[in-house]
Amino acid sequence: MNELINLYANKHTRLMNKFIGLCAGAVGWPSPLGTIGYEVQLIEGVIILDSARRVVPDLIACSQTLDHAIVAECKSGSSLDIAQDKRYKEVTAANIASVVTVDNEDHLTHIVAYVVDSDKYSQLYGNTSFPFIVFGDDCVEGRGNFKLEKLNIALQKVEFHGTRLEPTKYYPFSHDDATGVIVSYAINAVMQCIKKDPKFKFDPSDEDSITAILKRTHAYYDLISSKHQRVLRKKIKEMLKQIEQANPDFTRQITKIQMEGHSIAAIRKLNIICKRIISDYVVQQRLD
Amino acid sequence: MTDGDSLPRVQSKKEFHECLESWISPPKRENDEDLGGRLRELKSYVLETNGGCKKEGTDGGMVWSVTDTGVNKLKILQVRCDGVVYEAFMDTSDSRFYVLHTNERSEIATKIVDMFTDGWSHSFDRTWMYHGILKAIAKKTGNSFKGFGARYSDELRRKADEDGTTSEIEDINLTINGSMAHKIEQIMHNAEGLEDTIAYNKLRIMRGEGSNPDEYASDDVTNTGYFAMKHGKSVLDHLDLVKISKDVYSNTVIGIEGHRLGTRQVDGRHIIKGKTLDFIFKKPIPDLRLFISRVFGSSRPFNLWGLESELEDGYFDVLGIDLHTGDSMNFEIAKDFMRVYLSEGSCGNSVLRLLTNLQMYYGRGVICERVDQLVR
Repeated sequence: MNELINLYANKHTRLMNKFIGLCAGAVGWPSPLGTIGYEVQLIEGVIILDSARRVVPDLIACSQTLDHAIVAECKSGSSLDIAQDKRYKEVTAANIASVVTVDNEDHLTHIVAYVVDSDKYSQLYGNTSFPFIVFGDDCVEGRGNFKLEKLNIALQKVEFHGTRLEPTKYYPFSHDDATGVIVSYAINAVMQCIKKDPKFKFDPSDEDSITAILKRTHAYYDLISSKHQRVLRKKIKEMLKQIEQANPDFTRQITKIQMEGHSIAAIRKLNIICKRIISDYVVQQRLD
Repeated sequence: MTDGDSLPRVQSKKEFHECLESWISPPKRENDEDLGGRLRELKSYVLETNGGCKKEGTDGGMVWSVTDTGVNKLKILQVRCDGVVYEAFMDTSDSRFYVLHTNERSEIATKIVDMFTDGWSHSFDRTWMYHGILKAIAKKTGNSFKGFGARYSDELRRKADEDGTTSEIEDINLTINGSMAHKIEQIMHNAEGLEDTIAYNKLRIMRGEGSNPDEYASDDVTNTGYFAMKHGKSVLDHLDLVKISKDVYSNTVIGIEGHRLGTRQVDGRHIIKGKTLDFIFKKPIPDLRLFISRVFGSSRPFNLWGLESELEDGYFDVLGIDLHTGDSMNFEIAKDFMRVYLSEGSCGNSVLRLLTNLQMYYGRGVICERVDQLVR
C-alpha cells in the first residue's frame, strides 16, 4: 500500500454527518433518532417565514410516527448567529410542512435544535433558548427541552459502545472544505467517468465535465444551494486545472487506459499516480 | 455452447425444451475423451446485465454476436474464440438477468463466461449467490437440500513473510452430497472455529418429486450463478429452479439498490434517501492495510479500485469504484465493521459480489444484516 493520506472534513461537515448518522444509522454509530422514526429529508432546505424572510437550516429530519420535525443547525464555531437565532424563533410548523413530506401536515409539530461538539457547548448554550444535541467523547445527548417526551428520552445520554467512529460519507464535503479533502473525491469521480464513458475527455475547462464530476461524487449535490454549488464548481475546476498542469502523467495514464482498454497494471499505475497527487494536496494543506 | 455443431434455430418453446432434453443424455462425441474435463451436461448461467446486451462485439480476443430464434426473447449467442465457434441459448426475458443454457464442457463454458464478465468494455457480471441466498433457494417450496460444497481460503488474512513465502495456509475445499450431507453440515455448523469460517460455494438442490428421473432435476447451484444438472431428466424442473433462484437474487439486488444514497421526488419535492450497508466481521480484521490492499487491488474477484486513507488509528476510509460498472462505492472500515455507501445508479450486484467473496476469503463470519433481511 502506498503512503496513506489522512484527513477528516471540517468540523461543520463532520457534524452534518454525525447528525445524519443518528437518523439513518450506521454500524458502530448510535441511531436514537432513527429508532423513533426520524429521517433526514432536506439539506440546506429554504424555509420561507410568515414575514417573508428566509431561514436555511443545515438539516431537517421528520418522524412520520411522531408527526414531528427537527430543524437542525450545526455549529462548529464559538458563537451563534443571533439574527439567525431570531429567525428560527419565527419558524412555524406550517412553514416546515410546506417544504417537507409528512403524512399528517395538520398535526406536525417541530423543534429547532443546535448540533454541536461538546467543546463548543459551554460557549453557546447561554445565547439561545433552543435545545442542543451535543456530541461528546463517549456519548451523544440532548441538552435542554425538546418539548416532546419521546425525543427527550431518546436523546438521554446515548453512549458510543466501544467506538465513536463517525460516519463521514453521507455528506462527503461542503463548499467550505479544504481542497485537500475534496481532491480525492474529484479524482475518484474522474476515474468513474473514464470507466463509464470510454470517450470521456478529461477537460477541466469544460463545465459539463465539472457538473458530471460533482454529481458523481456528492450524493446530495442537487440539494445544495446554488450559491454553494457555484463555490464548489469553482473550487473543483481550479483544482483539476492545477492537477492537469502539474501532473502530465495523470492525463497520459488516463489516455493510455482509454486507448488500450482494461489492464490491471494500467489501472494500478493510475491508482499510484492519484495517491501521489492527493498526498501532495494534503501535505500542502498542512503546510498552509 | 457447441463447438462445431450449430444450435437449432428453435421455433417454439417445445422445440427448445426438446433440445435441452437431448443434452441430458447425449450420444458421446468422438473427441470427448481426448479433450478431457467434465462430462457434457445441461448447465445454465445466470448473468447480470448492466444495460442490456449489444447485438455483437469483441472483447479479450473473442468475437461474439446475438441472433434471434423463433421464440420471443430467446436468442442464440455465438462466440468465436481461438478459431472455434461456440453457441449457447440466451434467455433474455428478464432484461436485467440473462440466462445462458449450454451443454459445453464446463471448462470451456466457464472460460467463455469469464471472458464475458471480466472485460473492461462490456456490461455483464456474474450473479453472486452468497451463503444466505443459496440457503434461501434450497428452502423454497418444491426444492430440497441434497448436498453442499464449501470453500474457504484465508487470502485476506494471510500475510506474506519477508522472504515472500507464506506460512500456515488455511485452504478448505470440500463437497459432500447424499444422505450424510445434512449431518455433516450440522457438525460443521456447531464445531468451534468452523461455524464462522466455512461458507457454501455450492448446494446440490433437487427440484421435483419421486424417484423417477423424468420427474425431477438435481442441480449443483454455485455461488457464481452456475447451475449444472447432475441427476434427473426433468428440463422443466431445471428451468424452474433457475427461474426461482433468479427471482430470489433479483429481489435481493433491487432491495439493496433501495439503500443507495441520493434524492427522491415526493409530491414535487426532492428529499434525501439512502443508508449504509453495514458489514460486521465477527472475527476482527488483524491487518487492515493488508485487507484493504487485497480487496481494492483492482483484480478479480472483488473488482474494486480504491483510494484509501487512515482517518484515525484503526479507522480507514476508501473511495472506491466498482470496475464492473464504473460506479462509486465508498467505504469506512474498522477492525470489526465496514460501512458501504452506494451511489445513485450503482449496482446491487456489486454488494453481493463483495459479500460472497468476503465469505469465501475471510469467512462466513462476515455478515450484512440489511442484505440478509432482503433475501426471501
